[in-house]
Amino acid sequence: MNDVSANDAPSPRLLRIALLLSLLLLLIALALFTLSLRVTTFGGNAGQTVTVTSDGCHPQHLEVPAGRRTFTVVNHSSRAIEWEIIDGVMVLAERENIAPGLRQTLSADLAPGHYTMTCGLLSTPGGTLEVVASADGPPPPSTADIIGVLAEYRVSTILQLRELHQRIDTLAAAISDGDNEAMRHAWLAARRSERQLALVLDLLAEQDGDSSADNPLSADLQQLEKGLFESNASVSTTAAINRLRENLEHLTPPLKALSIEPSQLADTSAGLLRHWHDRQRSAGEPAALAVNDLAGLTHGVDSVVRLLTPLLEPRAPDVLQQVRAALSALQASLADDTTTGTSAIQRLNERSLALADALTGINPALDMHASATPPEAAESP
Amino acid sequence: MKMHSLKASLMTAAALVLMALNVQARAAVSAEQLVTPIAEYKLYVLDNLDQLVDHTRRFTTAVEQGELDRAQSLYAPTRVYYERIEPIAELFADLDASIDAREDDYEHGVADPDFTGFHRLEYGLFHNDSTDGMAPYAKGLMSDVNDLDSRVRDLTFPPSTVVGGAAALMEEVAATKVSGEEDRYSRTDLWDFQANVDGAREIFSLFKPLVAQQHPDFVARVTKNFGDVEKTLAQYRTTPDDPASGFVSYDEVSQADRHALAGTVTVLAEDLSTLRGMLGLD
Repeated sequence: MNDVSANDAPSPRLLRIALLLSLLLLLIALALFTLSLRVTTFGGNAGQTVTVTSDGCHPQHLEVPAGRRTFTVVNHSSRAIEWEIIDGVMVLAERENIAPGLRQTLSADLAPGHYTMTCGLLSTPGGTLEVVASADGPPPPSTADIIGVLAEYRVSTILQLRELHQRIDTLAAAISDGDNEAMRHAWLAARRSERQLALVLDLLAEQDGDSSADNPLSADLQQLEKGLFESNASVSTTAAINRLRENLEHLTPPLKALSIEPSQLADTSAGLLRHWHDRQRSAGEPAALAVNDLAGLTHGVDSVVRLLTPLLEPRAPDVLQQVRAALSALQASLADDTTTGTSAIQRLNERSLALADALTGINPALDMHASATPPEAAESP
Repeated sequence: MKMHSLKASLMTAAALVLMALNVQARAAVSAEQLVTPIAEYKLYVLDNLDQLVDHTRRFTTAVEQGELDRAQSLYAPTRVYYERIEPIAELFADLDASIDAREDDYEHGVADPDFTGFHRLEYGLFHNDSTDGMAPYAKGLMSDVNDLDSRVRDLTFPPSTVVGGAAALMEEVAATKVSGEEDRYSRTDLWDFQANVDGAREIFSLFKPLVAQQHPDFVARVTKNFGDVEKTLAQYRTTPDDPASGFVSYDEVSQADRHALAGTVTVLAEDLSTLRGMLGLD
């Protein structure tokens, strides 16, 4: 505008050009603004858009890399829909009640595999979602995964405690009835329940600074064992069962609230099996009672393995395979009660040790380490 | 220009402070603290499943034996236990469809051969006023409920599904219960409505101690809104305010109360949807 002197008003033509230029700038700014909005809405290059019409999903087939993925679902049908990602029969992620004409986003952590998508009506054919492995393999278990496992372990502890309670009540009733056969039977059942809970009982005893001795319930049960199975023992079974019931009452609240580290599941299980193995070889206690103990311990290990299976499956299928093979071998030996005697005991010795060894492979495979500070929820990826 | 850059740096500083505060707020709930309420929630679900199995057995037996009145009266009280635990029950897509799908989920509606479960029985019992031909659906429902029971027992509950379940239940109420489309033949929607509220409230109560200190306004607002919804629902019990009694037909709910319920439930759904973020589970 150098040619416009102070006396001269700007020519209408110049004014019009300036106006047009500023309008243009405004439009560019608006476009940039909209573009930036779009980028945030669609989650950058990770976003996939699926349009649902009355005849299904468009596209019908999607392929994404493993990891956290974002989907934008657009409802172009005439009714409210839900859109789900389904793994077999399990709903992994869903957005419900997307009204006609609207769009919704959802994010899900996806492991490699084949999934289906629901596309409107249940009778409308679903789409397929292929999740391909990324080069750097699956990430270590998330905080949410760990919380899930620990909560589930808490639930199984509480349910097993209820069972132990019932079995000890049955044992007490048999003792007051004075029926020897029923007493022994009930003792064996109660002891299996207690051994199934050995992991938490031991950890609680450790936290109370009492790691050397047996946990109180185990000690009480062993006192009772002497009274019930050894003919010449002078043990007051009534006093022993009363002490057992008192200790159970006393230990139940802290057991229900016991906080454990994820790495202790596999490690403590392995330790318990080794301890059984070593004691069995040195103490030479009656084989039937030792086998009964091992049956209880193996039940406990089984629930730990079930819990860790979903974490191991995508990350260390070989470790999982070894653990499962060792566990079923031991379970098969325990179930085979037709062959008692030294060769059967020998086999249980070998197989309990083999399972302990397989279990020690779990923590390194899941990147879980002993005595780490508890993970913080805020650090979830 | 100077003013602009000053403003920009101020805003950046404010954003950083906010981010720092946010991180601190989220770190206040440790993973360890989440274990207890999630375990407690599973125990709640297992208790309700026991009841669901029990009630379904009585309901389906009545259908199979052709006792129409008894079957009609057991329909709503049985569904309660499913509706309370819906966030978990609906994780199994196949069973959710065979147990609780509505006719609108199928191309051929009521005539669709895949349409089974509670709402297929509802159509027979309340629309046709008959148990004729219902025995196979009753058998199927019983076996699906048993299947659900054993699958849920073996399921590790995903923490974000549990926490998100409170909002999901309220969204469900807002979307399908207030409109009265859920139980269109039996008109027993208020039973489901109350059960969804029970289920959401259970989740809220379990996680409340973890957020109460940092988000007192949220807790106060949600508590008040739950209270308002329950007060309105209680007026429609067959014996008003008696928590042990059932509910009148949804047709008897006034337009004013439907509007009020819709509003409160929508606010509850929005508020509860922030719970996951507060607990660091988004």
